[in-house]
Amino acid sequence: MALLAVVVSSMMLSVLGRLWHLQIVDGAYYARAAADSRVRTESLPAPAGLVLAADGSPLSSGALVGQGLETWYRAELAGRAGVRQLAVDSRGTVTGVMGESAALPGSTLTTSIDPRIQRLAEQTLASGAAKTGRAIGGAVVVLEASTGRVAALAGHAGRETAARHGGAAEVDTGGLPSSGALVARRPPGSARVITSPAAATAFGFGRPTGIDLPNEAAGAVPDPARHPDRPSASGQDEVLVTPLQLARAYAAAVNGGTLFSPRLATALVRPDGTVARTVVPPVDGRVAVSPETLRGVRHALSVNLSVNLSASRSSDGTLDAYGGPGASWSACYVPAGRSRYVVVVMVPWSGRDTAGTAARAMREGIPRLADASTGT
Amino acid sequence: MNVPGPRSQAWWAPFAPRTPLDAGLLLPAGALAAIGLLLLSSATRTDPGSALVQRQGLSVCLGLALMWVVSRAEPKVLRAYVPAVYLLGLAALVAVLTPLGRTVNGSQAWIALGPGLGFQPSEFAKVSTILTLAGVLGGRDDGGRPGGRAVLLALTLAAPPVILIALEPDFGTALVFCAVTIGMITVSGARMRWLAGIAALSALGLALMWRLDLVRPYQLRRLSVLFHPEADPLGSGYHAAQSRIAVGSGEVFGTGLFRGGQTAGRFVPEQHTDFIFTVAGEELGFLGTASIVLLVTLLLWRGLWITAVSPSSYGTVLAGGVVCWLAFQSFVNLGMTLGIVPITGLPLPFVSYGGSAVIAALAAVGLLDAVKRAREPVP
Repeated sequence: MALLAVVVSSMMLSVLGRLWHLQIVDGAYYARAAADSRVRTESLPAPAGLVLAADGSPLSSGALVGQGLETWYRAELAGRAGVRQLAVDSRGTVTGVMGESAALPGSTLTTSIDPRIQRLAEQTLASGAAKTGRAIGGAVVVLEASTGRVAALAGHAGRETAARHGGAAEVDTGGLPSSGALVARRPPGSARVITSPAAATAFGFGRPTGIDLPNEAAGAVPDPARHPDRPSASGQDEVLVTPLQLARAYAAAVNGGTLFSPRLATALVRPDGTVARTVVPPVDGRVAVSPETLRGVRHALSVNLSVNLSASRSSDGTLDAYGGPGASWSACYVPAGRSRYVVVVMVPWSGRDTAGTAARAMREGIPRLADASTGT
Repeated sequence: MNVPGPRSQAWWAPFAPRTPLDAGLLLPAGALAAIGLLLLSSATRTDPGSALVQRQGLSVCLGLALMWVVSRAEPKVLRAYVPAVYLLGLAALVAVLTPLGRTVNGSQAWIALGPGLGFQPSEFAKVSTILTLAGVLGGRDDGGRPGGRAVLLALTLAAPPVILIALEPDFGTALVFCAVTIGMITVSGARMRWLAGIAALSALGLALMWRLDLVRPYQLRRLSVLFHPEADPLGSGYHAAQSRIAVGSGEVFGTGLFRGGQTAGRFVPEQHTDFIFTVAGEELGFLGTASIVLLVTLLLWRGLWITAVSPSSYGTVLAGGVVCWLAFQSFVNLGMTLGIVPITGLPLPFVSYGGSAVIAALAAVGLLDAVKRAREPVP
């Protein structure tokens, strides 16, 4: 009997000891394990913000938005995902909601892109490309000269460009998709007015413009110290510029010397309508060149309506001056309404007048759009 | 208590409320059954169509009534019925292996009495076997120890139920019979050499089972997850791990009755029957589980006291058998819930859902009360 009593008592004591261990010593651990097994965390995707053109319509240029602005302003556009904690049973069936933090919708990005000019630029580029039979690598940049805002930016992604044009000497995108407007390329002919090594640094060549798009190329400016005997004309061999760099340089020439870091975005607007952030193109520098030079450029751009830069100096820069097919460039200055636009067109693989024709199309098209909008 | 009026000598005299049930037995057993109903209603609360609580309540009432009837019986009278009770229990155990039997969870252990109604002969066989062994081992009126013939007879009589139940197969219940048999032989005062012989035989039997590949793979897995719970996380290990998580997560005070997330989510399989204790663990915490263990201990101590003070060896062996049964089964059930004993399909006496089990257990408490009453002078 005593034996039985001892056996029974020790059985119950061992159960009590085990309970003490499970529930009191390790209780917190098991409580956590239980909670983990009952809760499933679900992410609530935040509605992404829209990218709007200057007139408030959704911006539809795929590459510019998808690989460009949406990448640059990813954090603001994406918002913040919410979290929902669901109670689940052993089969994973949801039995209730334990907690929820709502998703924060992304802000809407407003841009200075004028959809009509943008469309014109894309069409112009397409017809230029149709002439050359190559659909990639060209660019049309339309900058608002006095503000540094981008009114239109058409261009093709640069990766294929890099491959087709045979290397980094002509195309420098860092191996990443980029707008053709951001790709560095040898500028031809009379562009040397402002791409001569002496003026190049002042006009912002050789460094990224800082535009709000990813994968911008820096271009290249030869070191004047290494070529003391070969200024300007012969030095241009090693100048690489992007259409955007050229456009902002011309804009500086037109607006009196202010070099902007161009911006597509104008503001980020929260879902409730309040402005989260206003985007103003920062001033990247002042061009300290002689008034005569500025005047010369302005004159060339305005008086000649469209200066075909590649045409002004025969074959230089257009056709295989460097052992391979080149690009034709053209720039023009277009006052339209209260805005003053600088347009730079670059068409690779093209004959000498392809870019000039395209620039003339822009030169004639933009004022018509302005007229249409003012009702005249 | 002296009640005015003429002393009644009518046939119902033994049932008169003057001789109430022993509080030391009734209170713990009743409390455990009541707690069982509460835990059952919590375990089934996410299944609105469930009638398990009502059915179990009915079983508890039947069991209490049977307990009271049994407690009124003279041990001598009970003894007279032993052959009939034993054969009846054996017949039911045979019947369950015929097409009459119904299989639940892999064990053909139930006899269907109708749709949704059945009983488990092995539960009643526990009572009948204890009565039989007590009759054999406590046979000597002079109070002397049972001789070798009595022990051999007891072993012979205990063997058929064990074998029949092992065939269902219900290994856990068969083990209960073994424990009860060995416990009763010990309590009867049989010579130690008999116990040593039984121990040697058991070892031999186990070795034979091993050699003849009678150990089933799932039994080995259950044994191995006891030491390595992470070994089989989706099978036996899942059961063991979920059981421990549910109990441990209750910590000191528990989540509160009807508030356990593990219980509501049905994370522990078989939670309303063999794993009912996990509901207490999660919802009532250490205070609740320790109270349940305390109630079981109180009941067992009361049974031990009755075993000790019984004037007849028959009463001693009978009460000892009941104590061995309830103690072993409670320990195995609690132990498997807490991960110190391999998982075996044994219900927690009085608490787990199961009509046959609770009725048999309450009837066994009635046996303890009958033994206790036998030492009191008949009024």
